[in-house]
Amino acid sequence: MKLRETKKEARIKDAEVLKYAQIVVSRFISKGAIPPKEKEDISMAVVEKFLFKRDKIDLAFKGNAKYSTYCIAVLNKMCLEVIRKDIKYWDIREFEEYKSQQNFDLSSQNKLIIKDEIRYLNKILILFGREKYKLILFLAFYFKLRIIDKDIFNYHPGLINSELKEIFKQNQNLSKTELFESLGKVVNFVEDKKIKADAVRMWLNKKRDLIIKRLNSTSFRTNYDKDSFQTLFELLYDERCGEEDSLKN
Amino acid sequence: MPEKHLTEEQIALVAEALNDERFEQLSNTIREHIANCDECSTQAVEISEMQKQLEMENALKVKEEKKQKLAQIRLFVGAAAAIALIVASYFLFIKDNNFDNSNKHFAQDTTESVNIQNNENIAQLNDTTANDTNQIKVNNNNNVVAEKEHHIPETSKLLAYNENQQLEELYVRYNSANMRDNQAEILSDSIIKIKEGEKLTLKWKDYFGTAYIEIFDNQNKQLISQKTEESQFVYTKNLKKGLYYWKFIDSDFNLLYCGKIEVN
Repeated sequence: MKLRETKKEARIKDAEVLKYAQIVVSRFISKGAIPPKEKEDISMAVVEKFLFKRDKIDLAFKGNAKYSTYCIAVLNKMCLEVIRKDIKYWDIREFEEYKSQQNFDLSSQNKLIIKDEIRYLNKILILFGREKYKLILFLAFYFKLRIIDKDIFNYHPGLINSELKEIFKQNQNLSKTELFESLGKVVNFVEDKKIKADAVRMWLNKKRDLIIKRLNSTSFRTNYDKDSFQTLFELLYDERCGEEDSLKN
Repeated sequence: MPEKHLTEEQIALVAEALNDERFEQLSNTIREHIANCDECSTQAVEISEMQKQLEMENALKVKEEKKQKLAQIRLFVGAAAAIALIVASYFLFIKDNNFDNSNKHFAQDTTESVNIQNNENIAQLNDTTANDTNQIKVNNNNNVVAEKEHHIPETSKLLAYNENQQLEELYVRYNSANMRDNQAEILSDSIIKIKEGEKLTLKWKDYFGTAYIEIFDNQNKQLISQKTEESQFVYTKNLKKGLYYWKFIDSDFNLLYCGKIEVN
């Protein structure tokens, strides 16, 4: 039954495979992973590969996700395979030429890019699951940002009414050592552990590096480092504070 | 890093969960893997972005299609309204003019024929009046004002029985309420029916004083006006077949009654 439904849907979606392939390839071009002049060739190559393996692709589809999203995921993977195979034939100068041809309007275009990046970072943080709340709170504390009560509550509801809550209001004038000592107290209280400040520092640094890596993993255009990541995080947290303040009002 | 990555469909699931803000609803297995796998988490984020872009493009396409459809509907409604207006104008102005014109012709024809017949009647009546002798009959106790004898032409027999609108109204008024106040009681029928050549007798009672009796034909032409102080009036002249009216008037010249006479 499901296969019949899938095949029926496939017959409908067949005409849109090229459209999906172009979306995937365009994204790789915008990220700087594919030279613009290769767009048509790679799009056709990916479509050809997809249609060749259509039956297997349909068979593997269980119907838990949307078929369109599933097709994009398949095309994305195929595109990565093509890039891995053909990248050695592409001239690096074409990437540079493409970058220089990009004409960014500082006002509107940059705002749009920043908004996209903030959304991207937010999604990466979400994928950390429950650890997300700890990450956001600790990063905000470490970067000496104004902490909102919602993030304290999300990490642990018991913190709101405890004396440790005051720690989060006093991060402005602390040194890095003092910052991690405070976070250590919080972790021991919430997670019932007996760790030192150094453990918290190592954990936070590891997570920050992982986030930066994931931000940069498929992108040749972005090249985040610790400083640029801090800037991006501050922008994200600023949005969160804005939402919180508007809710209170 | 985990050895086995998520399948394309599982990554698609994560991508959709990211966009729908329901990541927490995914299974523990998927969530744990994603948290610890750079490749799968990066792919999931990328695909969520592409899915969002696709949804936006589809939404825009649907919006454009709706817009086009609306424009088409507006065009159709506009055209239909214009056609309806043209058709309505045709029936209101053009066709009405033709109808009026044809009616006018019809009305004219009818009027002309009626006028012709009426003129004939009048002409004949005039001829009759001119040819006949005017007779003034004086009763012993009555003063006859005037009397004219006339003949109704054979060709307009039917017209002789046509009701006179003015006299008819009087007749209806005075026969729905028999008498004004209680000045007199008319004993004759409201429609007196006599044969041609038969004498006409009009009767009343309970009236004291002078009264005037007037008889009219159905053209509202007075045939006789007679003063009387009796309780009846006899018209001896030969009335031709047709419809006539009579009036009972008091001494102050107030109309007290109007009746009909049919001569068959």
